[in-house]
Amino acid sequence: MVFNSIEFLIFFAVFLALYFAVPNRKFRLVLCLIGSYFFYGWWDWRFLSLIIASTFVDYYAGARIADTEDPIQRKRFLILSVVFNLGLLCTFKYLGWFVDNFYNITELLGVGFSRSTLSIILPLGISFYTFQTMSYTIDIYRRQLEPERDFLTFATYVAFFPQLVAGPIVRARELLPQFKEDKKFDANQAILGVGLILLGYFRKVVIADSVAPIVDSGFEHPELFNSINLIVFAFFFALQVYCDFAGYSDIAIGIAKIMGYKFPLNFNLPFFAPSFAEHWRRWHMTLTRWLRDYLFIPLGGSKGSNLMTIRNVMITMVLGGLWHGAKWTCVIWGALHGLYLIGERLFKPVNDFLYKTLPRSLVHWSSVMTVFALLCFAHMIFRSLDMHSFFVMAKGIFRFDNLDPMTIKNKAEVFKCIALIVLMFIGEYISTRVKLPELLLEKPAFRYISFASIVWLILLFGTFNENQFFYFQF
Amino acid sequence: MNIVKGILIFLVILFVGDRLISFVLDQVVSRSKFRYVRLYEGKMKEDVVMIGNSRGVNSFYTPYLKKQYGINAVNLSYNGLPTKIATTFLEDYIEQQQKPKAIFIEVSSLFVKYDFTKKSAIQYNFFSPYSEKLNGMVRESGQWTYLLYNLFGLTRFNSEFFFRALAYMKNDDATWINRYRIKPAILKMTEKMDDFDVYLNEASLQHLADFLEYADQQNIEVRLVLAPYLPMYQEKMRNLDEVIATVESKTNKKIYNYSHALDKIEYFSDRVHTNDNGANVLSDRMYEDGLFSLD
Repeated sequence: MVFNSIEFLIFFAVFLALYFAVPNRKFRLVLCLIGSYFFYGWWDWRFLSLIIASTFVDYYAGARIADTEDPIQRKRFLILSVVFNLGLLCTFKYLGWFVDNFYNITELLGVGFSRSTLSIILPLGISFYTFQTMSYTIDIYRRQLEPERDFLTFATYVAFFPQLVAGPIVRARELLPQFKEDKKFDANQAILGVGLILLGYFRKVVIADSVAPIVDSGFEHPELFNSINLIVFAFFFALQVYCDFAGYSDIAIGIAKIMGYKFPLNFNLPFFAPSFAEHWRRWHMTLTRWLRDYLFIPLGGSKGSNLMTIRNVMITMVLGGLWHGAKWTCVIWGALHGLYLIGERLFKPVNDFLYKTLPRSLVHWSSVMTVFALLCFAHMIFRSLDMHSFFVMAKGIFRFDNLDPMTIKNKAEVFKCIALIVLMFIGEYISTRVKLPELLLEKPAFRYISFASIVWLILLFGTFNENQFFYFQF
Repeated sequence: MNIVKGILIFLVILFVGDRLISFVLDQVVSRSKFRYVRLYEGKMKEDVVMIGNSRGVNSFYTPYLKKQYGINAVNLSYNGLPTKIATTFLEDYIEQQQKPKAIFIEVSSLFVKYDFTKKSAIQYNFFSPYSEKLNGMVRESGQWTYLLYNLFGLTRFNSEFFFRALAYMKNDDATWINRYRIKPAILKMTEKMDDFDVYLNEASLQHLADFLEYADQQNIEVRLVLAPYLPMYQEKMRNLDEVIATVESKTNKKIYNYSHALDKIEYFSDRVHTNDNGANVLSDRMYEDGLFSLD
């Protein structure tokens, strides 16, 4: 079930009515679990078995880690959890890719194997819930978390539908205590939740889904377009991914808010970041946090020598890239981000010097634009069908053969999308200057008009074809 | 109680605003010079109506016909226009305007495998207040969609047609012509293509046959035309002649086959669309062949 479908709206309306009608916390949890399994099973009920298996294994492993002081035993159960979850990921997400690469290497070496293609369905949200449950057992192992003894609560945590298929990746220590609270309807939270949901739908159906066909046409045959068109495609794709994923996160956080839960922020104006490090602190924040706490810091973080830091950054970013997809383009995308972060670290003295000598706002906004342009470039790799296609596109852009905006294909649609993107950025910028939640709660007129305006924009510019969210494929 | 009151106030603002903005937008676009607005505002008086999908858009250049041969024509073609919707536009033209002397239909929408009628009917919802037939198609396209479209007036303007109508507030869209030249990359891709069979969409063919019967009852001359393809591409079509013969036998109408009429790549913007040069040469050919002799 996707958030931008009629089925979901009906499901959520019925679910919510029942949710606040049931008399106590226990029933509410049962309802959440059934609702979450129904939500997931609507896509393909067979893959519910993976979530249930993951729930059992991590519940058991978590409890056993906590129940013993024997370090070998503790490590053994941690390994069970990590191997099980990574095993699921490797089997369903990476096995086909590994096999393809194996064939490619043997072909290069001249060893003849007849190719057979593995077609494995990628279970929805597997990258998210495996990371979430792994963090649970790792936190228990690190003694940062007590295990959840109530199986129902734990199962609900693993399958909680607002964030099950595309995050945010909510840590056990953030969410489990919330399941212990008795949830009552809170009008203020509901208002803020509705606001977030509307904003999420705006990002998804108005911007992401509108630019999607333009982006698809460009990345499919980059050789057919001139420089200005290719620049538009690269720019649009960065915005598509952002609006699609941030849109999903907004809706997820909004749904949780209405139900009385607090999810961590997942995007915080990432394209306004003046540096790559800052960008990653604002982009898919819950994944960044996960990679930092469970990969980068255990590797040694930035505490060692420069060389070690560079190694740690590269490992983290390459694996982060691989998390996004079993494709070489994703690995290279991750590596490029690693290089950006390292480059930024090495050039920090130059940057500091510029901030000291030139007007601060000039350096700031130049940095924002430079970072954004380089992010668009990296996203090109991410979206390209393969590296050859990426090189065709990059060559096409840097040929600068035609930069006349009048040669843009599908001009009306492109300009319409640009106008909507600018509108969104203006809104985002304003949100940094005013206290939006307070305004929404304290000024009913502002609330009614702003909510209605978003609905009008969605009705007027939305694409109503129930396009899947981009991050579902991860 | 406060919550219910709040929801009610919000809904009132939402619906009143929706109707108000829709009304304003409707007033604005009614002044547009976009061809379909002109059609449904009853402002078309042309003798010849030409229609088709994007190949019709690019191949029929009416200002050239007017300038060169004094033929008063309008091109109602649109990118991806399915046969069923094209014939609906034509029926609306006949019923709402004066009867044209002749109608030219570019037939390549018959070769589109997937029938976009249901999907694209939503786009044409923009005209549903003016066309019972298009309104009916939107109804058939889906219960939820129809409900949403009836509930909110703004959804009618969520259409490419609306934005095009805005773009042509001052200038007539008839003067637009494709001025692109075919790219070497497209030639290369076409060269590498395998031969293929042209698909004939039976449902679209039936819609065309039904319309021809209707036009016959109205005593309107209809001419079926197949616009030029890039020669290199046309050669890849294994069964084009057979498909043309099938269409001719089903409709009892000759197809004026210009699929191979233009032999230079300079006449094309890609493998299926002519550019300005190609459109003008095609007009000359059609004129020389007597297709515009209407009396």
